[in-house]
Amino acid sequence: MCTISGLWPVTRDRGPILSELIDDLVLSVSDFVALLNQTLEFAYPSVTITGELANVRVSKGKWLYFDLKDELASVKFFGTVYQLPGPLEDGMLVQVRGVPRLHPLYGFSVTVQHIQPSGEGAIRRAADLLQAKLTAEGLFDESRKRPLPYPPQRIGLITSSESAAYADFTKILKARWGGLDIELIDVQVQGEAAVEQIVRAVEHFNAQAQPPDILVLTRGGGSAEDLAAFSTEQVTRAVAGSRVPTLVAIGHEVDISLAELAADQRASTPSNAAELLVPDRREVLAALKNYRQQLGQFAGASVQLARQSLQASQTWLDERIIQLIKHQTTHVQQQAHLLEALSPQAILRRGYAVVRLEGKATRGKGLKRGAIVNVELSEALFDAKIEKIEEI
Amino acid sequence: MPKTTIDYATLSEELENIMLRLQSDDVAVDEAISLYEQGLKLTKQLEDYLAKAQNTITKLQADNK
Repeated sequence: MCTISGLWPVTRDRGPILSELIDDLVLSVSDFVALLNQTLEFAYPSVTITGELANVRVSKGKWLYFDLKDELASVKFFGTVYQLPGPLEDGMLVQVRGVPRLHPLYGFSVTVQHIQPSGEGAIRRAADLLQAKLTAEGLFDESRKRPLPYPPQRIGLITSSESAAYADFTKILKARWGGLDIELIDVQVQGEAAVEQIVRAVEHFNAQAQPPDILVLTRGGGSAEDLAAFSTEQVTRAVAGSRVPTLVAIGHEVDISLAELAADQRASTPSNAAELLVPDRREVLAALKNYRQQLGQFAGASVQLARQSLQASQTWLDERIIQLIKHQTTHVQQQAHLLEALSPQAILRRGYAVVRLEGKATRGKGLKRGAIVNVELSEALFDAKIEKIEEI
Repeated sequence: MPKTTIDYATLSEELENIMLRLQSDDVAVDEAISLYEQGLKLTKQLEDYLAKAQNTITKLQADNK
């Protein structure tokens, strides 16, 4: 490629010298292209153009070609699909920032730096197209939603620290709960830089060795254009791809951004996000008070139960002992009767006698005629002399 | 990140478990009394946490690619 640096020490106020030079100059085609590009770069380092999309096509899944046109003119543009906020289609009104240049072979085009739908209708249409595409991919499936930790300990917060959303969110959090570690990545929440900054913040939190318990992405309400970043493919995919559970709250009334649809949970406003995230300490304190009463009741019930059981044991023991004593008494009485029946006196009363020889009761063995025995009857005691003995 | 505060979730779960245990039929008196004392201690800790714990906000920079 030729260089014309030696020919180009020119500034605007030295224009006449340039035109004199150009008049006499014969350029090669390459030199002309380079010269024109330098001129363009000088005059239009960047230009923003709005118009209707036409002939949109993607080559090799990467390169993006389209025209922008209005009633009178049409201009070619060139970029990459990575710059797209989502699928775009012919007829859509867009706003493109880019660098105009003359390609050595393919002619004039504007190299895209940033592209976004312009106007309510186009923004809505672009969001619908993207939503359809991502829905088909399953990004918004209910089955992907994870429960949020409640309450979380560490929160990764992605918002603008200047915003009312930030002030509201932290204020409500503070009023409701304490002991939270909030890590803030300050991002722009609208404008060209917003998308990249938000995506990078989500990635940063996810890349931490110990990521937070939850990511909160939030901003207050605004026009469709203000909120466009939250319906871009990049931000929506970043939210859907986060391994840390996500809560997205974009404060607006009518439409829900795609990032919210992709989040594990959405909230209607930044304040609502804080309310969903943590309980209210006043409610928890009341519950704790209740718990304490219940603790007393439960423990008391347990003691009461034990006391009742003890009483029952005592009653049983008392009854048992009385029963045992009664039983024993009866038994002893029976024994006494039996004993009474077996006593020698009772036998004597029935007419029997005890015969004793020399003080010892005898059964008759060894008795001899003439011996004196002592005879005991029930009602008399006498001595007798043995006259006759018959052996039995 | 220094942990200056007790872990609320852990304490809260511990309290829930104590409440459940206390309500079961087979809890003995000694255990019930011990659970009661532990439960009271936990409610106090949790109340202190709620009364004193402050939120901290740290500003981070996202990595530059």
